[in-house]
Amino acid sequence: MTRFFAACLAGSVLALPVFAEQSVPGEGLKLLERIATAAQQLNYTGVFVYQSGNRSETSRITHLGDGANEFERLEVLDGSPREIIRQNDEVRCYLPENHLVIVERRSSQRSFPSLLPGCLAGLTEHYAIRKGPTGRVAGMESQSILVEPKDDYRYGHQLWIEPKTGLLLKAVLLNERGEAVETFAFTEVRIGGRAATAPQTPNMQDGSWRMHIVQSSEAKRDDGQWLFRNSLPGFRRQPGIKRQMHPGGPEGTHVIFSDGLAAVSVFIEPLPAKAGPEPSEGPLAIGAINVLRRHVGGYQLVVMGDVPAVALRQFAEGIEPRGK
Amino acid sequence: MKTELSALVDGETESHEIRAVLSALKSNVDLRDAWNQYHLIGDVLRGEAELDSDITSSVMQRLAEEPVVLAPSALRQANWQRPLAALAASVAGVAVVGWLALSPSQPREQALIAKTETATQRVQPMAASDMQEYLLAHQANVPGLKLQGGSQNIRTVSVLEGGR
Amino acid sequence: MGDREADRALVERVQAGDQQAFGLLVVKYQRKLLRLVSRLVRDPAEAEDVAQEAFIKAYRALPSFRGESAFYTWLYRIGVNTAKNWLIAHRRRAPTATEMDNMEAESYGETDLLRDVDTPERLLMSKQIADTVNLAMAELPEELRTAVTLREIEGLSYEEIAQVMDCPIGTVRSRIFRARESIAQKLRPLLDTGPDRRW
Repeated sequence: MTRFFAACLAGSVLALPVFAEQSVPGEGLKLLERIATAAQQLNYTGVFVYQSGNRSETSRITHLGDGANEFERLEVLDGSPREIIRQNDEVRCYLPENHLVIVERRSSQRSFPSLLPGCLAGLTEHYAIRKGPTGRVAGMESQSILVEPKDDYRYGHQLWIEPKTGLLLKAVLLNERGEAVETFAFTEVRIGGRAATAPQTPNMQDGSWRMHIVQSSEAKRDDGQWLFRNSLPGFRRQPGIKRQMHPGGPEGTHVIFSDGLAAVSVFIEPLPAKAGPEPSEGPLAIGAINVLRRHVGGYQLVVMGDVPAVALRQFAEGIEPRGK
Repeated sequence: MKTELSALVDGETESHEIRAVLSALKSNVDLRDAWNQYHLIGDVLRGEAELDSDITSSVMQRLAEEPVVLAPSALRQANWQRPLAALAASVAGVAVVGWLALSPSQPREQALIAKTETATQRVQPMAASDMQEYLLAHQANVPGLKLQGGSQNIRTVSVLEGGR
Repeated sequence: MGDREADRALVERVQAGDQQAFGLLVVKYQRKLLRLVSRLVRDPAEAEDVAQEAFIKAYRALPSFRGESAFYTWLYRIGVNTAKNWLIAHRRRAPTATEMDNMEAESYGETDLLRDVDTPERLLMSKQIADTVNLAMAELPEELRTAVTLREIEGLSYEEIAQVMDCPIGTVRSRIFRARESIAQKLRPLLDTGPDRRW
C-alpha cells in the first residue's frame, strides 16, 4: 500500500514495479543489448506486419550485416509501392508515386555502438526490464522481455526474441494506459544464410525522379541559441546537427534527446521572411511518434518523438530562444 | 481479470496490476458490468437504499457531448510552471496532440477544450506527409538501442497511405 | 494501495483524457450520491436528475481536482451544492438548517434514513435486489461469507482480514472475489444490462 501511494505521489500511478525476484539484475539489459547487436549483425529476411491504430501494413525486410557493413531493404507490400534502403549510414526513401527519393545521411560518428555506455547506464533508472513468458511468434519459440516505464514520460515495450540469435520477432509499444500504440511482428522470417536476392535499388530510369538529399553537418556543441526549460527525466541531449530540411530552404538545427530507448527530435528552422500562408501547427501522431509544430519568434519548431503526447507537449512548451 | 477487478473494488489491487485492469475495463463490457454488480453488492450489504437506480448510462450519454477534460496535474514536474493549454481529444484511440493556445486570461481550472472537431476548425491539422523528411532524419539519427533495426522506418512511408 | 488511491488512479485516467474511466466512478458512487441528494430533493426522478447534474459538474471540474481530499469527499461537496442550487431554483427557497445538517451528516455516512417517497415499483425492485443478495450471501460457504462481510460491512483491509481469518492475503482476495461472483451470478437476471444500459 505504501509503495503504491509513493508511486502516486510521484505521479506515476501506472508505473510498474521491478520484479527483482523473477530476474537476475542486469539480465534484461543484457538481453536488450543482444537484440540491438543482432539487429545490426544478423542476416535475415522476412515479412512483418506493422500495426498502428486501425491501420496495418505488411512489409518485407531483408537485412545483411557482417559486423562492419550493413545493408537493409524494406519494401511495403500493401497499397502504393514504397521502399526504404539503408546502406550503413545512408537511408534512401523511394516514393514512386511521388517520383521522389529522399536521402538522409547520418554522420558516422553518431552511429550507435559508441553511444551505448552513456545511454544504457540510465536505462534501468527509468525502465523496469524483466523476462516475461515464452511463446510462439512467426512459428518460432520466443522469449518475451517486458520493458516497463517507471514514470509517465516514456512508453513501455513488450519484446519477443528468438533466443538463439537474439533477433527481435515482435515488438509492441504500449502507451501510458497500457494500450498498444504500435505493433511490429514478423509473420515469417528466415535467419542466417545469404540473401536470396542481391541488393538492388528500384528502377528510376524514366528520368522523372527527383532526389532530395537532406544535407547535414555536425553543429558546434556551443550552438546553444535555444533553451529547453522542461527537460524530460533521463533524456540526455546529443550534439546538435545543422541540416537543410527542404531543397533550397534555410539551414536549421536538429537537436536530439534520448533516454537510451526513446528519443525526441527538435527541428528548428527560420520561417521564410515573406508572409505566405503559415504552416499549420498541429496536431499529429504517426504511429507511436507524436509530432508538434509551433512558431516561436520567427522560427518554426517541429518536435517529435516516441514518447507519450502529454510528455512531448510538456517538453515542447519549454523550448524558447535564449535571451528572451 | 475479474479477480483483479474485485481487488480494485476494494482498493487492494497490486500496483503492477492496475494498468492492466483499467485497460481491460475500457475494452470489456462484461467487466464493466461486473464492476457495477460488485459495487451494487457492497451497497446492498451496507444497507444503501437506491438499489434500483442506475444513472450511469444517462450520465455517460451526456458526457459524450462534453469536451474531454485534461488536467495539468497529469504532468507533475517541478519545473513545469505554465498551465497546460489545451490538449485535443483522442480520436479512435490514436494519440493526437493539439497545440492550441487558450487565451492567457482563461483560468487553469477551465482548461477544457473543445472536442476535436472544433479544434480542427481552429487549426488546420498538419499533414503527415509533410513530415517525411523530419521522420527520416529523426529515425536515422536517434541514438540509443536500435532494437528493431530498420523496420521502424516503415513509419516514414506508412503515413503516405494513412492519408487516403 | 487503498480505496483513495484506487480512485486517484481512475481520476488520473480521466484527467488524461479517458472519458470512459469517469463512468467507473459514476458506477461506484451513484447510489451514495443519490442517497445524499435525496435528503434535499425528495422526488426520486428529480433526485436522479440532480445526481446526474452533479456528476456532470464534477466531470467538468475534474481538471482542478488536485487530490488534496479524497475523490468522494470532493464529489459529495459538489452533490450538496448542486442540490442546494436546485432547491433554490425550483422551490425558490434555500434549504433549511436541518436539511443541511442531514446532508452533512449523510456525507459522512452516519445516518441511514429511508427515503419516504419511493414509488411502490421502485421499492419492490430495490427489495428484490436486496433479497437476492442476502439470499445468495446466506448460501455462500462460511469462509467466503466471512471474508466478504469483513470487507464490505466491517470495512477491513485484506491484510486485516488475513489476520482475522488466519490465511494468506491471496486467499482473502480470492475468497472475496468468489463470493462476489457467486452473488453477482444470481443478481444478473434481475439487472438490465441491455445495450441501452451499456456505456
